[in-house]
Amino acid sequence: MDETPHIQQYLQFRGEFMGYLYAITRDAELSEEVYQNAAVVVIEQSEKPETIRDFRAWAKEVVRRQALHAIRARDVSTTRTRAMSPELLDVVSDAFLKDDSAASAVHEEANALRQCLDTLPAEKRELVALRYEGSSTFDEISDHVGSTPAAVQRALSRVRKMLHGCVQRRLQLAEESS
Amino acid sequence: MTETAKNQNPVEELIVDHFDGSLNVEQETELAEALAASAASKQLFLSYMRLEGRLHSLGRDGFLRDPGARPEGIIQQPTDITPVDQDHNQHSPSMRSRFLAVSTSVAVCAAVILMLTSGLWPSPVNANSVLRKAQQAAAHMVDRAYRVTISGGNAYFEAATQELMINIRGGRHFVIQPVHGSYAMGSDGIDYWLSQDGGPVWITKDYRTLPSAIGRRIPNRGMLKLADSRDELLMMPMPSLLSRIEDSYDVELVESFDPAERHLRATLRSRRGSRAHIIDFWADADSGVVLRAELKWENGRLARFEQVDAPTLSDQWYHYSQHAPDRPVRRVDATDFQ
Repeated sequence: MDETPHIQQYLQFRGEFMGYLYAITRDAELSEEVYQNAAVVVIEQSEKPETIRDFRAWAKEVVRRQALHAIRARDVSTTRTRAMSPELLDVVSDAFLKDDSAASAVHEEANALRQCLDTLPAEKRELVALRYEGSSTFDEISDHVGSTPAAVQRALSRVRKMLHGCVQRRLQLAEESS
Repeated sequence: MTETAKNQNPVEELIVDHFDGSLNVEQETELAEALAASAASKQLFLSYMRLEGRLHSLGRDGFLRDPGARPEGIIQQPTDITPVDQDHNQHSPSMRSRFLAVSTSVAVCAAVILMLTSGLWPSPVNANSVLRKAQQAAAHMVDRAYRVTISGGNAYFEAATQELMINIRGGRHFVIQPVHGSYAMGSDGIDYWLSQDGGPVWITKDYRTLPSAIGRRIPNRGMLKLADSRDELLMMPMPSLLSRIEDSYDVELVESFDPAERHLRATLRSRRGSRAHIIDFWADADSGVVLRAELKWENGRLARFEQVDAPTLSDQWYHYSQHAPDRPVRRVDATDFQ
């Protein structure tokens, strides 16, 4: 069993948890809010005597429950965001919960992404920063860069595929060399 | 290109479009079916999901731009990139935001109580004179300790009841800690500070100018959001806080069944905003000291205060060094970024 404090383990999986939250909410603010709520549950759990055998699996379930609660609350209170189809929500949640990728591999993936970001041309990196720093919409970014929303969306799609490919290549190289 | 790779291309398009929020219902169904049918597609989705999560996390923490553009003093390691920095992890913006969010609503309540706890209970008693005396109480240095219980109101509070201890006096001195303590935050009348176990102490003097000066670049976004809120009464000087009560609440005396107590009720005039809509106080009839209080919010949140002690504390007791000794100190002030 990992003796690392729970909150530290939780923070180490931030990218994975935030990814899931964004995948099912497609709302960066709500994702962050749910992530924080789950963090408090983790802190409280740390003060209890019970032992958690598999922290990552336990934390995933905490995140999922908090997320579903938040989604229900949002869907009741607003019609601004179309709810994701239940079928997709189920299959994504199932994949998230059952994902057994090694924690070390997840961390290596994070390191690889940082290296890949460093190799991005300046204008692409700027585009990524505009999109993810403040969860700007394609409309907002297009105003900033003097393009159209559709062009921004296409460009960002290419950059993400580029980053994803870069990460996978780096992981493969690392695996081959080890 | 392998057969598998060929088959994944349309799925990859769906995945990328999903994270853009541009799939229609039919496409979402198509993606769901693809993920359910293929382990490889599922793995592809998960790797994109982690990528997306990391980009959002890095973006929120200000790590996506050229490192040379980041302000000195707030450069830290992203959370899920190894090696892990213990101090940083103990103080991620998320956690700070949450524990501040939990704590500040309590501190607001405590600040309200403070105004009525100096033993200056008016005679004869009426609501307006209580508020007049409260202003004197605000400036009067009286230490009080309250046990606070908060429940209900949102996903978090429904799941757990919070119990905190608040030590507070006039002149913007207070310390807040959970009963089972994993953090502390407070003010010594000069600086606001906060610290979690094992991490550094974060300090700010002028929170009001931080948001515009630092914007997104500082990791401690939760704190900025709270500090920037005009309804965040915790950060107000006491006279301003009192004015806000006068402006926003109708205060009335309520008949008390116990002759040894006075019962005051403050009702929020406007239901807009996030403030407690009803505040009930029960105070000692002789001394005027508030013995307990209840605050109710529209969303069902309930906070109860009970005075547990009236310790005499030194000025230094409210300083962060008394609650987080031997920790590195990280000051976050707007002037650092101008």
